Amino acid sequence: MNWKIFSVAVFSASLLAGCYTAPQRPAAESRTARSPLPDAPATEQAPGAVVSPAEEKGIQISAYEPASRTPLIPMHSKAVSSLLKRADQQAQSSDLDGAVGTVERALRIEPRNAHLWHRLAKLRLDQGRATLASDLAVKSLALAGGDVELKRENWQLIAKAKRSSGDINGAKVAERKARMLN
Amino acid sequence: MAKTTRKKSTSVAKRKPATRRKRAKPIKKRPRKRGLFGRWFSRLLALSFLFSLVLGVYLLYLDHTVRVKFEGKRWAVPARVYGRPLELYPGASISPDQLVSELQQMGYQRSSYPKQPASWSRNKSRILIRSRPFSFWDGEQPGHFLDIRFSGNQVDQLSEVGGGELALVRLEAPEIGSIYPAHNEDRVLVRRSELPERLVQALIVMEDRAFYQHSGVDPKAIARAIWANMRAGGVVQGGSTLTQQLVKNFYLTRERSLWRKLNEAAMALLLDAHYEKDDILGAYANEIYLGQDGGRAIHGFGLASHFYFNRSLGELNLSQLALLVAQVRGPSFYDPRRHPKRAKERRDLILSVMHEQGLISAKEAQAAKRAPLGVQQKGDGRGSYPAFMDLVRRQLHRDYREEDLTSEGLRIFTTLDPWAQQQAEEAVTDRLTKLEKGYRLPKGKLESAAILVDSENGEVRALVGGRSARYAGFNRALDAVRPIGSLVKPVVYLAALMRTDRYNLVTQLDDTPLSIKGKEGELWMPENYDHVAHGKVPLHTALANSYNLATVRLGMDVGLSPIAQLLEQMGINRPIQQVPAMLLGSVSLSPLEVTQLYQTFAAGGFYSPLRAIRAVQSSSGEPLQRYPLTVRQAVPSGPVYLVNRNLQEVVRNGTAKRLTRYVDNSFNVAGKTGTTDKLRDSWFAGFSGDKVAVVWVGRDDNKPAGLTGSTGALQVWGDMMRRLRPVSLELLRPDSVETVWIDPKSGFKADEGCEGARQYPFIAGSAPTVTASCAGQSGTSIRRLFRSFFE
Repeated sequence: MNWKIFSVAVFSASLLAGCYTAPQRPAAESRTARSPLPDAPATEQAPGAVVSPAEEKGIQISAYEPASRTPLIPMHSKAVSSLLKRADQQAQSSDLDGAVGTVERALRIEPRNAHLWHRLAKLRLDQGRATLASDLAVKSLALAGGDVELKRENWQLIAKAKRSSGDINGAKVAERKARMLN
Repeated sequence: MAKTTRKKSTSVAKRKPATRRKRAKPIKKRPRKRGLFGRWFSRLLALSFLFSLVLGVYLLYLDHTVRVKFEGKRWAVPARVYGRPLELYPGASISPDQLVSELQQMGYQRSSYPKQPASWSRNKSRILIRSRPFSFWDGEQPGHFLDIRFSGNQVDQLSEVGGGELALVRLEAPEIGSIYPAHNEDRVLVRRSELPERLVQALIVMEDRAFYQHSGVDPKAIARAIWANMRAGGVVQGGSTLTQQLVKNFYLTRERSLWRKLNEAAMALLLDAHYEKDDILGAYANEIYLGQDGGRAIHGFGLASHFYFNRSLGELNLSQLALLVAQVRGPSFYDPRRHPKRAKERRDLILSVMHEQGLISAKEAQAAKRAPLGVQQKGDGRGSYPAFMDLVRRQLHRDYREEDLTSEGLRIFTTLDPWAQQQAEEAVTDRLTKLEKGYRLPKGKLESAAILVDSENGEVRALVGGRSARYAGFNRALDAVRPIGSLVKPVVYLAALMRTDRYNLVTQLDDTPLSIKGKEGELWMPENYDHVAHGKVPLHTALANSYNLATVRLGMDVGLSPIAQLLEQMGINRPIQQVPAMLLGSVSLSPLEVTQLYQTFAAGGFYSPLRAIRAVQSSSGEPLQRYPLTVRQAVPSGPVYLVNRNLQEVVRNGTAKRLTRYVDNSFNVAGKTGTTDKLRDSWFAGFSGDKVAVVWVGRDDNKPAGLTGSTGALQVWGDMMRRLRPVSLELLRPDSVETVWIDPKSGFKADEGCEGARQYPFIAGSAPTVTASCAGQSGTSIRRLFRSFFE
């Protein structure tokens, strides 16, 4: 499916290039500048322009504006959705071990899906493995990007896990962090 | 038979007092009244009593032996080891060729249209598969009839033939080996009900026609054999029944003597009296010796089927079954791999006899005779991954006794990706040969180890223990503990960047000569690889170009102990000798340990212990143990992000520039080269978006290999990764990191209007606060050249 996105990007880039005035054509320019660069002498300046327009835009925004927010409803591939459904069924029939295995399977397909790490953390907390649950939630946090909702849920989970393992101070810190994301 | 023995023993018991009385008699000194005959008669009687007593006890003993072994656990069943199952789903990065290679390894057969399980067909980018059902650790997976359409190297559509679209299907797990005991007997147990009827018919008609009629021993067959042997003047025919053959293999030694023959007959009679014919046949089918694979003895039809045809017994056709029965008479004499002609003759004879006996039609016999032997080459699949199996064994030994592994029939599900393993092996072999040629190095001296793991979960996908990866031997991936050279530098820089008050990526370092006094007063004077001091250099440049002097100065400032501690936090358990030389990699680690270290980098500072095993299941299908995914934040993600960005620069602009030969320049990877004194060790460690790989190249005799990290290990690494089609590395910027425009000349804060300014990541608050003179001078919209550090 990537080629579709790619072709749309190229198409819109060329559209932009056609419509806008010269100073506003960085995207098209840097694309054309891209090919000779790898062979150019490896000075420090060289890699500057080796960025695709989308990445460049992202960097510009992230440097000066708050991080972009991803949609709050998690988007999963069909394969992962089917596994999550199965994990839910397993969890409902109190087969927590089975559910853990299923979420791990989903994570092999989408290893950087923060929602899956969170789901795993939740299951581990249900199993009473508080420390592992908290660690998994931290991992989910690291991958959550701009998904504030998910981040809050992770902090809440961490707070719960810390409280259940007797770390009251840690729990309070986590709760505060969760509140800050409201 | 048991009843009769019991009778005998009771009669013996009854007579016991009599013998005792008899012994007492001489004391009374009774006059001899009986004649010579009577005396001999009573002696004979006593002797026969004694004999029957001994015989009775002996038979009881035999009976006990026969029953205990037959009813108890009959065989030590080796643990079977499986690789990771292939997950098919729309969007999966799998090429048609990769799928085909997977299917072939699992013994699936190509046909024009798959009709029976374990077969497939291909029409360009469309593959149809009838998959086998498989029992996974998390449940049964039914067989499917799959229709898979590819688009390039990706699964595009997945559906069930005659059904709807499928979101996800897991193929069976490919078997990659077994853990068999020291006496080297390997087997796959089959039940009587799983024995194909044709196999049973062929076996009985060839080996023991009266099997269902006789009582363990067949006197007619023995007479026939004696007659035939006498006529031929030597042993040409045996009169053993299947029961006797079973007894011979099962209970007795291989010696040939009359005593053993008698024992064999007695035990065969006992066995036949106690058990059903079908039970005996089932045991026979699992016990019979049917081949030899190096040190491994192939026992039973279940394993022999895999050994010769790489398919399970139920999937064999008539000619293949006949070939298996041919092996009964002598697996080395009729070895279809070494003596195909002999094997074919014997197979065809069996087919003819089956036809004569009315078991198969003439047409069937003809067709089966025309079929090729169909034997697979040895070394396809199982038994071919000695280095990985070594890792599996070591991980299993933490939780299981050797005995349980070799006898309990455990099923072990591992993380090995056979396809990735093959790519890794080929990359190692190809590149080493090319390196030896290209650099005119002595032939055949270079050795290597390569490891491939998943970035986020630490699962080991491939492990190459040496150049001849298919032969067990010194497992360099686990046991070659070598100085890691500059591979340690990212840890030194990480330790520095964790001190945000002192260091950031643009901090100026001093790359000038220095000498450090050791504990015994000796002077250590490190040098740069190019013997040039570079003066003031930004921190990121020092790492990208692997400058030794700047690194040693940096490390000495940070302190050896925090660096050693960091190594430990990131998963290195070996004690680290805290000497200044450790900053340049005097510390020795195995490739596996280095992989663990770089996995922690690749996963953004999260440590997950490297795993080769996912789950263990009992022979009855019960889940015994899972080896779950665990994770722990070992180091804060901000500084790790900075180092990872810097490791990307190593590939773009630094010591690993050569990698562009293998991967497209737009493709992001991070990595580090490592070279040790006199070019003894050549290392490369790095990661893409989904995989971490570490390669070591050197010599077993520790003599200089003549290669740097970049000219040696990097080449293998690049070749391997190129074959694996990895995902580009897109680092996720943690919230704690901000990007700031920097003027590279001054190292001060700049803005996008500055000539040559670029963006660098900083831990929030650690960026330079002094503004360069160029900032704010020109309108920002005029020169909108976006420059970003390392991109």
